[in-house]
Amino acid sequence: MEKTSSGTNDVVTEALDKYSDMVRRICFMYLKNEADVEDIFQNVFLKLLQYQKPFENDTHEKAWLCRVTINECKDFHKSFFRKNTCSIDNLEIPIEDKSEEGVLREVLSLPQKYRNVIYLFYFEDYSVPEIATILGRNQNTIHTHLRRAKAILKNKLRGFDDGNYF
Amino acid sequence: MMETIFRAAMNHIRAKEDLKRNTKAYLIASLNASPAATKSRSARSVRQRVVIAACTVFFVCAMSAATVAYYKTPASYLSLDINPSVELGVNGLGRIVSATAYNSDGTTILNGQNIMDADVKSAVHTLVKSAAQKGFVAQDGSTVISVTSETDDASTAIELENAAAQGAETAIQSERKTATISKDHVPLEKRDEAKKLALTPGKLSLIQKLQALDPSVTVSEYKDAKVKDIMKRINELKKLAKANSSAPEDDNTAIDEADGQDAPSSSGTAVDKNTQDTANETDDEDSPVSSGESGKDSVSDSSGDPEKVDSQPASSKNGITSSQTQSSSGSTETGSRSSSSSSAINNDSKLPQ
Repeated sequence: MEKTSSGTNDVVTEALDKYSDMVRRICFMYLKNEADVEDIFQNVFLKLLQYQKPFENDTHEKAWLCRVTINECKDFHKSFFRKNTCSIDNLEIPIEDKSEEGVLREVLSLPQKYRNVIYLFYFEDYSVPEIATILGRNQNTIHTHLRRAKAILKNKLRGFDDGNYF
Repeated sequence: MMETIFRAAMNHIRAKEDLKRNTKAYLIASLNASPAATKSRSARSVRQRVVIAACTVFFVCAMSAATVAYYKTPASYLSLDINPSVELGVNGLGRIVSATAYNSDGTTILNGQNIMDADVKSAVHTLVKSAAQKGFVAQDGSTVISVTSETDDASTAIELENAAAQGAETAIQSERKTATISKDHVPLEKRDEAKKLALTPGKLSLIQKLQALDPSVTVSEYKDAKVKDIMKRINELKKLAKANSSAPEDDNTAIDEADGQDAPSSSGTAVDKNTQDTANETDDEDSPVSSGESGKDSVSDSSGDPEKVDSQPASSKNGITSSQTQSSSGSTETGSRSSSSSSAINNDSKLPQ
């Protein structure tokens, strides 16, 4: 991302407007604490603004940011000094619709590797090969994760409405 | 269905204005700051790595230094007396880490010999071989080779003595000569005393045994004497004492005193602590059954009965007194363990060639 000392403010504003929601959602998939989210937020955008190499296009930039955010979240969880686990049951989800909240809660209760593919596939509309590239995994692995995640969710969400979410 | 609900749910998740504002302030501050400040995180990371690397290097160096120090520090000593007197420093791993000559003959046999890092057996083998080649071992078998361990650990002492005796024995055999090998053990404190007198503890121990029989003897008088001469004098004095003694009981008592066990007044009075220690260890704990211990007896009790001694060397085919033979001689003795052990030395070193 291009930036000059005089245009720093604009560059920062542009980056935040463009990607803040996406970064926040990825953080939401990993973190349960607002303070932790803010730390990751700052780190991710600082890395973006300090990144020297030019991106090929916006898609490349977005994929790069996804990867960096996921890495930051993983590193955060690996950090010895920041290991404070929080139960998903205590997480406050700012959604009034019960079915939406139920689905979200079940997605958040999935293992981390399944959460990633569900988010990237269903919300960011990445294809399996693209997800495989972003996550650095084999395509077949992504297929497997996606299939298993859907199976888990289908089983868990059977109680909602008619149980036909998929 | 689920996809739609999930999308709708995730659309509710947005970055709050507070979060954006705080992040913006942080980013502007970071990007407008000096390059050093903007790269503070990476710099911190680099610093951490440097510190970790430095700590690792320091730890490795410290461990290496400790290992080298442990390896190079003698944990025990072994003195070899023929007349060349040499003291070998042995580390905790049983390797030679120092070699000190206590007289010019000692320097002669050490000259040109590389015994550093060798084990005790091969080091003693090398030195005795060197001594034999340089004429310090007589052809008639009269030479006495004394190996004395200097350590406070009894098991280490036995190991050192046995290894040294084996090394000396093989060296003598390889040179086709005969000699009597005597083993002894002194505590480390004895070493300090010997060092002050510029003697090896082994030779000092022998002189003190001689002093026990003849209080008029001085250390300086026998300082440069050969071990065989000291042993010869000890045997002469013992024979004389035996001849003068009317009752055998008295003889045994005299021997006991000379060995330093009780040492009341006469000859035993001169026996110092070391001799007493040695006598106690060897006589009280390890009777002539154990070959290693009995070998120790033989040395420390070198002032014992000559007649008994003769039998031991004779049992050695190559004329070298071995500890095993001493135990058998001890068992034939009159009952006093000290006297039996003392016999091991004498043999007058008349060993068959």
